Amino acid sequence: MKVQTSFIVKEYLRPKMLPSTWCGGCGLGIIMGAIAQAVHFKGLDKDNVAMVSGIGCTGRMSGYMDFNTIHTTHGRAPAFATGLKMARPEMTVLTVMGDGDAMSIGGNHLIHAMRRNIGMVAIVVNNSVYGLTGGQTSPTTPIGGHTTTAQSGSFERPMNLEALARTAGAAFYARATVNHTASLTKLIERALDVSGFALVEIISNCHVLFGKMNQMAEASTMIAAMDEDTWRTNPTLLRRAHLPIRLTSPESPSAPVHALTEMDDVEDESRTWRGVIFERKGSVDLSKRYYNMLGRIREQQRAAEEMV
Amino acid sequence: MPTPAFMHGNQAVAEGAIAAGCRFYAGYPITPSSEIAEILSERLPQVGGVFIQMEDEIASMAAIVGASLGGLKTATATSGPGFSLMQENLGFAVISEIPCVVINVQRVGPSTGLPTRAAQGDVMQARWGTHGDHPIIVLSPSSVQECFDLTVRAFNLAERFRTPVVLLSDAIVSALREKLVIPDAADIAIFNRTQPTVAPDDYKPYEFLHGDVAPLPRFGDGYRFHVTGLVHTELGYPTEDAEIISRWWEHMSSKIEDNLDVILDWEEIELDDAEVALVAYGGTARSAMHAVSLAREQGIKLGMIKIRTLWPFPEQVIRNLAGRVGTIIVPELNFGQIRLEVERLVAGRAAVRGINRADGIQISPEHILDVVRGLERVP
Repeated sequence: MKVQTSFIVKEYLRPKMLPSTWCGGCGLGIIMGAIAQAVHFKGLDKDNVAMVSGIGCTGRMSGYMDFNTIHTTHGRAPAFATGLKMARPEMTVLTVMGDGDAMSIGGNHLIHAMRRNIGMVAIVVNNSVYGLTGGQTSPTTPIGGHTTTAQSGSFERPMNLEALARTAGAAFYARATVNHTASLTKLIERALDVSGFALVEIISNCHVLFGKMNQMAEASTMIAAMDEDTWRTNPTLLRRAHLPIRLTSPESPSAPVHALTEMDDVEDESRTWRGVIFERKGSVDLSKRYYNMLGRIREQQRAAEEMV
Repeated sequence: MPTPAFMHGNQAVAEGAIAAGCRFYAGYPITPSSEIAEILSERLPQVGGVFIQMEDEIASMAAIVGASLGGLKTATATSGPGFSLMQENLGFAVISEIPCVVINVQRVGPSTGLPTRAAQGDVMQARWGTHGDHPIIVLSPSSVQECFDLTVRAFNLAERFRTPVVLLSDAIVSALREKLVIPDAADIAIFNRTQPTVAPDDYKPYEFLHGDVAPLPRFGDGYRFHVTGLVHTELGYPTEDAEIISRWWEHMSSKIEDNLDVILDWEEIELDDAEVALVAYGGTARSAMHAVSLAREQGIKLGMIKIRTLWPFPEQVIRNLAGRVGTIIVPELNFGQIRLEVERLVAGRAAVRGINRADGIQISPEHILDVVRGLERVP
């Protein structure tokens, strides 16, 4: 099921803020549409939805969407969102970050938001590169991937966000791509049902910078690769993987893949799965637990007053 | 009935926060501020408020801005190194005009410095610590009573002018125990941020008012506005239009500069016939006040100005002082951060000298008096 784009624009976007700063063909528009659709299908009241974003191309999304919105500082969105959620536990909080935002400068905040299991849907748009600043290496740039700060190919191992989320204690983890739009919306809807910290990693394309430097200058090439290089999860056989997107096109089997095999600390057999990767049963949002505690304290105070 | 109490400065700050209506605290432990967090972790749940210990000071500052947008009065407390980490999001609170209170209990720095020893080295960090030009309000308490009173005032000014307010305490007043009187709740003036009366479509969250601020509704109240660290229009949308930006700057500075009568706070002590004046603030003002009474016992005409609002600086008060006394002495636990301001304003019309140390030892009243007597010996 999909609602008309014109309806989404009218109901969920801020026309005065458009056009966006995003390049033609960027996956962020698809992601913004999917978020709006998910909110719409869940029947959420816009007044009761907050979107908190960081800095970067992804960070601009909060300005375009007609919710209660904060475009915060680089990497700090989960911390701003934690304050808001603890103050207004009844609000639905969407925290939107890019890969550099979430995993590099904001890594500590992300880890602790997951550890606290604070109730929010965290959307991490992973395009393997810093886009807004001009195509520099990000924590998910694959080994051998060319960027403006890795002119000979990145030689660092990329972050395994899935393993991090598992270890830190996130309640839910799903991976989607901007190629698979129906499941993208469904996965955000699933995340909205979670009590606690629900992370949706969305593989997106920066063909203008990362693609151009890695023989995938067309958005369509990168988006097609998302289908060829990812596998749907089988609930009975969940495997972990961390390569965000493949390094080169088949026509150009140059250094990157070779570099991959030379690094002995890389799990080169891993596949990138999409779908629900894990969900922790019985998870309860931190803000709910906190306010339950306040209720108990209030009861104790009343009992003590009655004794007097 | 006003209630006499006996507590230390950090406790008075915590109780002042509760009395002012603070219902959200996020912080990270650091000496010598940690008691504020410890006390509020017990007190806030008792009044239905939120206490959360964050992963660092960056996150603490972020959380109090987020919670303030949720409609609560919010605070964090720290010391120099943590205050440095807060500067990024303190700037965010300035530009997005979100009320909040940041308490900095100063210790000797830079870096880990002397963590348990008092200093006043963050005067300029409090003024200019975050990047870019910006208005800020900084208050400095010199007694346990003032820890309580100025904390209440910090919240009121934050709410009134939609700005972060820094309470610049120090390890002298924070650890000091003395008597204070807590007024009846009904006698404590409380200011709550104003709420919009217009329809959501007509609401301008950042209206460029001269000398005033726009109302600030809670998130969830139907106004669905945008908050950003980018320079923005009256609607909160990013702009690069120089004409709009100059109107925005005019609003940002005038909301403070046009309200100095409300914001400035100082006290004149024995100044009527004084020939020499001390200018002091925070923990050092205690030694200065003692020095004044010792001097008066000895017939020395010493007076002082105790500054409680450090920023914006009481410029006219100091300019006027230059016409009244021949010498101004500025004792402070740094190497002259306020003395430089005083020299700038006095502009040669009086002699200005500092008494400065930052070795973890307080400036004694006798030390100040020796310096004053030394002046008298000069023909």
